[in-house]
Amino acid sequence: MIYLILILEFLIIGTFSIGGGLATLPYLYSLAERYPWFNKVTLIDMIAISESTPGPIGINMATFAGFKAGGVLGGILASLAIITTGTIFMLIISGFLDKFKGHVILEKAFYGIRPMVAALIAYAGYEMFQITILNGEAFSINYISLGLFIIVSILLIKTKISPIVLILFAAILGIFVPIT
Amino acid sequence: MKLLFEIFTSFFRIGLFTFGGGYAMLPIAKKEVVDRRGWITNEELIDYYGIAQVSMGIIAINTSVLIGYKVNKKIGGVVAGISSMVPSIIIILVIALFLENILSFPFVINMFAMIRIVVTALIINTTYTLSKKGIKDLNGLLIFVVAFILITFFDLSPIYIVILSVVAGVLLYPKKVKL
Repeated sequence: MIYLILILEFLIIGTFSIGGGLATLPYLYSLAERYPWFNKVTLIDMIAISESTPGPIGINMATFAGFKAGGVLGGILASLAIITTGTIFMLIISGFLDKFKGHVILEKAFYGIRPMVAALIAYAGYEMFQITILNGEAFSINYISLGLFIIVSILLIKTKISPIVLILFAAILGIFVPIT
Repeated sequence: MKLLFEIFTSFFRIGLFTFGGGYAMLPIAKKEVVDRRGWITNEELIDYYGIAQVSMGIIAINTSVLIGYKVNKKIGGVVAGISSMVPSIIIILVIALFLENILSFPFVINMFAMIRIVVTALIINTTYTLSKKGIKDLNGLLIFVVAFILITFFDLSPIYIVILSVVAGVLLYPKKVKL
C-alpha cells in the first residue's frame, strides 16, 4: 500500500515539476506535511545531500524521500515514478522530431532556441562562478578557488583532458587541501 | 545488445559525474555522446537540452531520453534515461542507509567544494563551445543577449524564456539565406 501511494505521489510530482530539480521542492514540503515519512527539518538535510552528491537533484531527492517512506524498494520506485511521465513525453516528442525532421517550422523554432539555451548555460556558469570563486554575495575573491579555476580552464582549452579526470582530481585534492 | 550496453555505460558515466543541476550534465554529455561516441552533434545536444528544459520531469533524464532515442529509438531512450539515474539511486541509498551524517565531515564538504570549482570551469568552457554552434549570426547573438539579461537580471522563468525564444526564432529566421 505504501508503495502504491509512493508511486502515485511521485508520478504527480514528476508530471507537474517543470524546470529542474528544485521545482520539486514545494511538492516535497507538501509530502512532509501530509505523511509521517520525514519532517521539514530532515528535508533540509536531504536537500543539502542531494545537491552535493552526483546525479540530478530531482532523482536524488526522490530516492531519498522514497527511502524514508519505504526503504530501498521505496527509493527505487519513487525515482522510477518521478521520471515516468517525462520519459513518455520525450519519446512522443522524439517521434514527432523524426517525422518533421528538416521541416522549416522546426528550423525556425530551433533558430531561436539554440542561442537561448546558450544563454541559459551562460547564466548557470555566471551563477556558479559567483558562488564558488567570489564567495557568493560577498564578491571577495577566493584565491585558491580562482587558482584552481584558471588551471582547469587552461587544461580544458589547451588539452583534450576528460571532465571526469578533472572531477576525480578535484575530489582527491579536496581531501587534502582545505579551501577556506 | 552491444549498442544498448554502450548506451548504459555512457549514461551511467554521465549520471555519476554530473554534479549540480541539469546544466552540469552538458560538459560530460558532450564529451561522452558527441566527442567520444559520435552519436549526436553539438547542435542536437543543444536542441535536446532546450526541449528537456520546458518539459515535465527531470531535465537531465529528459535530455538522456532524447539522446538515447536518437541512438536506438524507444528502447534506447528508456535505457538511457534509466542508466543515467542508476548511480544517483545507488549513492543516495548508501548514504541514507549508512552515512546520513556525511556532510558533517569537513573533508567531505571540502571535496564537494573543490568539485564545484571544476564544474564551474567546465560549464563556462561548455558555454563557449556550445555558443559557437548555437549562435550563427547577429540575430542569434541578439536572442542570446536578451535571453541572458532576462534570466540574470529579471529572474524570468526558463519556461517563458523558451516560449519567447521560439517566437523570436520564427520572427527573426533569415529569409532565403541557407544557414
